[in-house]
Amino acid sequence: MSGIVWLASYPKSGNTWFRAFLTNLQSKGEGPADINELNHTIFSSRFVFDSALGWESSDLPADAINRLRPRVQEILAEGENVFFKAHEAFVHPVTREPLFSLKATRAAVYIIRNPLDVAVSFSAHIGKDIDTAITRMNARSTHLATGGGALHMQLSQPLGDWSGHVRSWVDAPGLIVHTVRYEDMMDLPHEAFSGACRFLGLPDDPVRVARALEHSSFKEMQLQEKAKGFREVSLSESQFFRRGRAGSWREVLSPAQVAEIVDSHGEIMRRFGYLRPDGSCT
Amino acid sequence: MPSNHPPSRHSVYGLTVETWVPFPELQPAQPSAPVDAIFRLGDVPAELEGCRQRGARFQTAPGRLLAWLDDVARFLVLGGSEIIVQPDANAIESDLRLFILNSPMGGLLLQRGLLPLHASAIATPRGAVLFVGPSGAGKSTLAANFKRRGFRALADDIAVIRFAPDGVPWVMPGMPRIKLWPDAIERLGSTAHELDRLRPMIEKRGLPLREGFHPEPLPLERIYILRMETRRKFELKRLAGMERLPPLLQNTYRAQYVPGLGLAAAHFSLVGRLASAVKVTVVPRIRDGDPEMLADRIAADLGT
Repeated sequence: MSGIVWLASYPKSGNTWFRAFLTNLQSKGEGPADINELNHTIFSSRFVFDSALGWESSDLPADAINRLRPRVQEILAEGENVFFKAHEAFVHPVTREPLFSLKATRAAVYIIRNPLDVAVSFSAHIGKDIDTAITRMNARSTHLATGGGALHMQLSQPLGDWSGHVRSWVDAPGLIVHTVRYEDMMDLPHEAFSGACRFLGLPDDPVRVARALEHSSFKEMQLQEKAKGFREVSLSESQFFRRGRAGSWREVLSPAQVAEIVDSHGEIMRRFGYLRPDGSCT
Repeated sequence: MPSNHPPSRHSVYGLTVETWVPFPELQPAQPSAPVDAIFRLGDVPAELEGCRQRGARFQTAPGRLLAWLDDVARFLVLGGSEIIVQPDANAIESDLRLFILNSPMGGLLLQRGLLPLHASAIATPRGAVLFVGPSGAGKSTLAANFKRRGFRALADDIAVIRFAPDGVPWVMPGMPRIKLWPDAIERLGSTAHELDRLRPMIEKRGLPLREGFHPEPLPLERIYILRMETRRKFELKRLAGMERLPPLLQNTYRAQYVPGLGLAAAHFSLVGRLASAVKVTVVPRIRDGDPEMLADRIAADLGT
């Protein structure tokens, strides 16, 4: 089947875990796949982008790069079974220009995680305090891999605010999208992952899914990172596979921080089951 | 776009190139040297007839490359001997010079049967040493670091290999400047704003090499591949015979043009010759690794 399948999420929402699962599901090897050899690289990799472009994106300003994204995706979509990880919002959070070509797209899996936990993990990822992480999750101007007068290995990725990001993907007109909750991947792994497999037209037989889950378990990935390091770790964080659980915000966030997140993202939190009708957190 | 200049002649990658305007970033050519390639203004078609492969901003066919950039120009590269430029309405001349020396030059070098690698090159007493890797791997930063240590540089961004009749690979001198981002310039102890930007909207600067340029070819001594992997421990890894092929194929400058230009077999054979003729060492990117330490370790490995 042609067209790109996007594995999309806000950062620190379980995207890498999902990729590790898919890699192990499709692996013919006996043991767990190497975390440094995961399939489904990130679209914003300059290497991927520049290969399809035929020029170096490092010579181009961000707006020119953004305008080239759809055409680059159409070139990449010509392959078979093309999967890419992506953190960008589906449309540019500020200019509303398309960042993804529907013509190049087959479908998307959107992974969503409780923003209270995202804030904790995102703070470690960017190497800033929780309040800074929350501020960024509330700002339409938020980008990954940007600025500092340095060349980043990835293209600058417009994320925008957390709620806007979710909406941009799950409500995108014309996009075939399957939403998976991180919390369901934790609590009901067989259901969550088998459901995604069926959506993607991948094998969902229970033995194979169970094996892939075992080979992509948090413990396994953490062990591998400890032994060999993980190439996708950010330079600000000491380890990528940190805690791998849901609800750690309860031990970390202050009531004021929780209130700020709920205040900004309550509507989407309610819609995806992170807030009860009475406004309390799940 | 003015075209009333007398043609200028420059020397780059061992070629004499005649250009429609002076290219101050290039070395002047010897007056007696025969012209190998011409850069000129002219009409460039919107599509390449008989196109074999298409990218977002390039099309290839045997002996022909069409490459274009919005608001800059369309470039047609023919038979390794000619690049025709059709500037866009708002194009500025410095952009035309900058970009013609990137993708179109890469296509021209491939068409001529040369082997351009995505690499910077320094001159050592034992010969040329290449730092190979994609954009952002740190190859220019390393070259600039070695320049500060008193080494001269032969090339930055594109290093061209040419095989002598006896089979020895030589590195041809490129452009006498290194392209650097402000963070790298500051870490080298210089000030970014003292250097010219390469494009008005881009932070990247050009560091002129002047006396630090090595204008003559040198036999290739060794290749370091700068690899994007995070390791806890820093270790240089020498690659055995066959392991050398994939990184050299992958880091060929504009490798994506090769199949459509009809050069896949010839290119594979060139890379094979290179792999069997030279030592190749992988350098991992290391957490918190500073360029100074990296250069120390490579200098120690080189025994210089």
